[in-house]
Amino acid sequence: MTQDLNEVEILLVEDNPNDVELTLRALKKNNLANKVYTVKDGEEAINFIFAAGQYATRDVNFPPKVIFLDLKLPKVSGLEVLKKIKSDEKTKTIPVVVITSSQETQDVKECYSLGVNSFIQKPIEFDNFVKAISDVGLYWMVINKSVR
Amino acid sequence: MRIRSKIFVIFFITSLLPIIFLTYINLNFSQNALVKDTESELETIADLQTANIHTIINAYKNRINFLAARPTVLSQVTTFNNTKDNTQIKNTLNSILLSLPDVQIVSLIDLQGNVVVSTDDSVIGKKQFISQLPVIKVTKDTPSIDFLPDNDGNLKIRFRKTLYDKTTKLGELEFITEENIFNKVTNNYIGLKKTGEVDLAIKDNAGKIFFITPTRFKKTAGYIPSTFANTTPSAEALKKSNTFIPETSDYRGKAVSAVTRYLSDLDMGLVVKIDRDEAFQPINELRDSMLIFSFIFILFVVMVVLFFVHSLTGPIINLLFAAKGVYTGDLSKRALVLSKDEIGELSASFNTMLDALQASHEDLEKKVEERTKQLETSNKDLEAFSYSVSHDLRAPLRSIDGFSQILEEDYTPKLDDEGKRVIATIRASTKQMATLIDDLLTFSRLGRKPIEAQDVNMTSLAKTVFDELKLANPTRVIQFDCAELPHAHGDAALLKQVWVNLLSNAIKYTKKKETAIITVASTSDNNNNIYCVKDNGAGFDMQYKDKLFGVFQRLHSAQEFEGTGVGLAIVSRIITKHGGSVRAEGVVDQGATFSFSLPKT
Amino acid sequence: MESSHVNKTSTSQRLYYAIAGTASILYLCLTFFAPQANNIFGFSPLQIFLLKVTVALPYIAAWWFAVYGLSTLEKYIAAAKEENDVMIRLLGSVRNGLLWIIVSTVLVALIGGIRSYFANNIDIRPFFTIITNYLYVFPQLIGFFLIYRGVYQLQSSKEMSEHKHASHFLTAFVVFFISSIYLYLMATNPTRQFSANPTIPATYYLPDILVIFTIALPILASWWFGFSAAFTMSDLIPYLTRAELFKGISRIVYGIWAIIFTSILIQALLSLGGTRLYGLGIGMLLLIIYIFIILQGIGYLFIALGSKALQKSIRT
Repeated sequence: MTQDLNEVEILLVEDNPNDVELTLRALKKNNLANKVYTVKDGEEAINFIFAAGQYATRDVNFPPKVIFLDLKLPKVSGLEVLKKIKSDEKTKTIPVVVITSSQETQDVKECYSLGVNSFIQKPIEFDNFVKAISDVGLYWMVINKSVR
Repeated sequence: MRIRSKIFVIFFITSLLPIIFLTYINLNFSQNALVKDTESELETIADLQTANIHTIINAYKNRINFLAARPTVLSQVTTFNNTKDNTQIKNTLNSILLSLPDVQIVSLIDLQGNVVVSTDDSVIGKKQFISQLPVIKVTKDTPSIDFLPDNDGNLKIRFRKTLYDKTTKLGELEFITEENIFNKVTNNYIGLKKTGEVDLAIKDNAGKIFFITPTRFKKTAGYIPSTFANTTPSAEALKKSNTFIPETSDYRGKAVSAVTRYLSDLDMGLVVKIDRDEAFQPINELRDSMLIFSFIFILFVVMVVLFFVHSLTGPIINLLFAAKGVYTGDLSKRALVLSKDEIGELSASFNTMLDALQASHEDLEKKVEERTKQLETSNKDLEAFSYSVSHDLRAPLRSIDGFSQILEEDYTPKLDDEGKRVIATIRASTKQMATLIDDLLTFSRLGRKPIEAQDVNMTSLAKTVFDELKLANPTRVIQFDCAELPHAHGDAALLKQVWVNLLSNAIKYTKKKETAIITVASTSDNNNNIYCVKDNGAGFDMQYKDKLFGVFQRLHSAQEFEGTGVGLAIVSRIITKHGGSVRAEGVVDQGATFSFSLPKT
Repeated sequence: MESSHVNKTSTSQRLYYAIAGTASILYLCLTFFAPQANNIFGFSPLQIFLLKVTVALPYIAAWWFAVYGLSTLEKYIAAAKEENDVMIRLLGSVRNGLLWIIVSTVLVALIGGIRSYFANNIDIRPFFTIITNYLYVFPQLIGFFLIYRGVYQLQSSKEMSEHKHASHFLTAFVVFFISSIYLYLMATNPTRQFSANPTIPATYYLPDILVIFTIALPILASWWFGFSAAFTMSDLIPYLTRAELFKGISRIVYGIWAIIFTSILIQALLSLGGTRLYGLGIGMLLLIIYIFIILQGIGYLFIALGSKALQKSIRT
């Protein structure tokens, strides 16, 4: 799908293609799918957000409305991405929702201390998964007022 | 009693007793010997002086007897009696006087008792002096002897013999000595040291004791002061006894030892005595010496004992002190090795033992450290494992469930019943695996998490949990009864999990009954509070009760009652971590009681 | 710092030696140049001279032992100033106490020497006797009390206060026993106030009540202090942590004991009284005098040995 990279509303950072598909399907149910851009590792995510590397053409001043971030990523891990986002003046206002399989309290603590806006655990059951993603998407896209 | 005191007392007694004993024996023995010595000395002197006295008296007696029997004397006396011419007799008397030493006056006494002729003209015409003092024995053959005190208080001795011409009395011949001839005896202090003396005493007509010679301490002859009169040895002597009196008091009241002799022919008591102080002076000196040296010896013993005891008990106490240090935890203390004897060896051995102990202690610590490191590594591995499980196992599962749902949603029209059943089965299995993974994760996490202990209100906790579970099962009819439970001291979250598992089990296994009756109660014993959850559900066969709390152990199939079999294992683990224990009782189809105990707060 | 310590030590050591030297010379002069005294045993002039030599010289020797002992102790105290503070204070008290005791002994000897010049003056005899007695009793009391106080302070210091101390049983037992004999000897002394023999002075020339309260009681008190101090010290020694300290202080305690016993011996002899004492005979008397001298010498020798052992502990 060709998209204007500056008009991305949801940045989905997820390495598991199955999970990507399921997530998109869930978002589709609420008509949020076309605003989604997917990157498959941490490096790409950072490049996208900071308009670097292969995304140098992007404009940093047009960040996504929300970032769905998985923790377990190749190359650069989710926590590092989160850290980078939240420590940069230009990007720290972007809402980040960590969506991960992990239930570890350690992860939860770390994310919140880095400034994550929300922490969601991926349910295994699809129905629950769909509901969770939908709710989250709706909230961040529609209800929540973000900087942009 | 401390060793020191014991040793001291023993040493003391064993050195003191022999000394006392020996001193006593010594002094006793010496005393007896000295008494015997004194006795024999006094006896010797007594015998000697008695003989002396007899010699002296007999000399005069014999002389006067001889003279009184001489015919010349007798005829001269007769002549004088007839003619009153004293020339011849006077010459004779004078020559007698010259021949007798120590005699002062020789006189002739007439039948009327007057002095008619004498070598001393001043006494002529005078009546014979009668003294108070008794006259000593008169028989025809013996002269009479008596004592004449003169103006100075000295005694002269007078001998008188009756002159007979055949059977006619002619008169008396009289000698008067110059001085007290007995003085020779009593003035002789040879062998009598400084306080010894010989006393000669007679009884006067009234029975009072009279010393006929001056005593050593009273320079004149005379009477004994009445206070001492009865106790003097002279009194004893005049009772006609010849004895040794070791202890008595004399005419001065002083303690003396005395020997008595009774001179029967003179009716005189002779006493040889000496002051006890002087006689026993050697003993006193001996006693003082012994006392001083015993004292020095005892001091010496005490000193030696003190040295010895200190050198003995000092190292022992030091060892004790080091030992005490050890059991209060300080393994670095060592005893001092102060000598090469057994105690020094003991201290050295003790030190060696401590060295070994300390080394093995350190060794053990090292081993513990190693083990701990190993365990920590193990733990970390487990953490990594469960982390991995929580992430990596879930994701594929999610895909399975998700895509099978997509299949169901999007391709249902194309599927037949069999196809739908298959998909349903896949989804059901996925759900089961999800629950299993969650339970497993909880179970493994339990082992690693430390307990954050606090006071937990078990009653409100149980009620809250039940309310939550009831909410999740709105259609069920449950009669719930929760008694007042004692507070517990433990981790609130974990204990909540316990209630969740037990109560959800109770709810689950009573689903086949119309009305589920669930009761929560508690009892207690000495150390623990016991909480019970009773239900009237499916119960279980008691012979399998040990399996109940095992991981993945189930007594019913998944079709009958859903579940993974981890719930009770989790309960068991939590309770064990709190220091308690779990129990279960049940009767098939009638119900079960699950109880757990927690230590009292 | 060290050299000043050494200097300081040698000053007081020199002082000791100087005083001892002066006293010795004085005493020798007094002894040998004294006029012919009452010849109780009837010796020839040569015998008397020999007697003086055989008594005076060892007597002085005992003083020198004392000086040696005390100066060695002094050396240790000066050198170990920084070390075991409590112990040093105790040893300081010991040294002070012993100084009082030995000085009283020396003074008594000197007065005795002066006294022989007035041997024939009967009127001045009580004066000398009383002075000698008090000169002996009270400094001894002070000396032993100082030692006792030093030990008491050690006992209540925080290092030692938690350790078990012996009861006073032993002290009481020993002092009671020795006191009874001493008091018995004193009571049976016929020459307390008057002496029948004109050549032998009476023992106290004081009324009995004064004798009891100003002589007997202080003496018993000084024995109590001395024994109590020595026993307590010997109790605390095992808790010291170094062998040299243990040996050193042990020997000093032995020394104190020997000195106490010397005092006991002298006082016991005095309480015998002139007549009984001389009645023992010249041989016995000499023996006793030698025992006393040797005992005192041993006492101070132990003090010296102890101090030497303590010195060793500093090197470490």
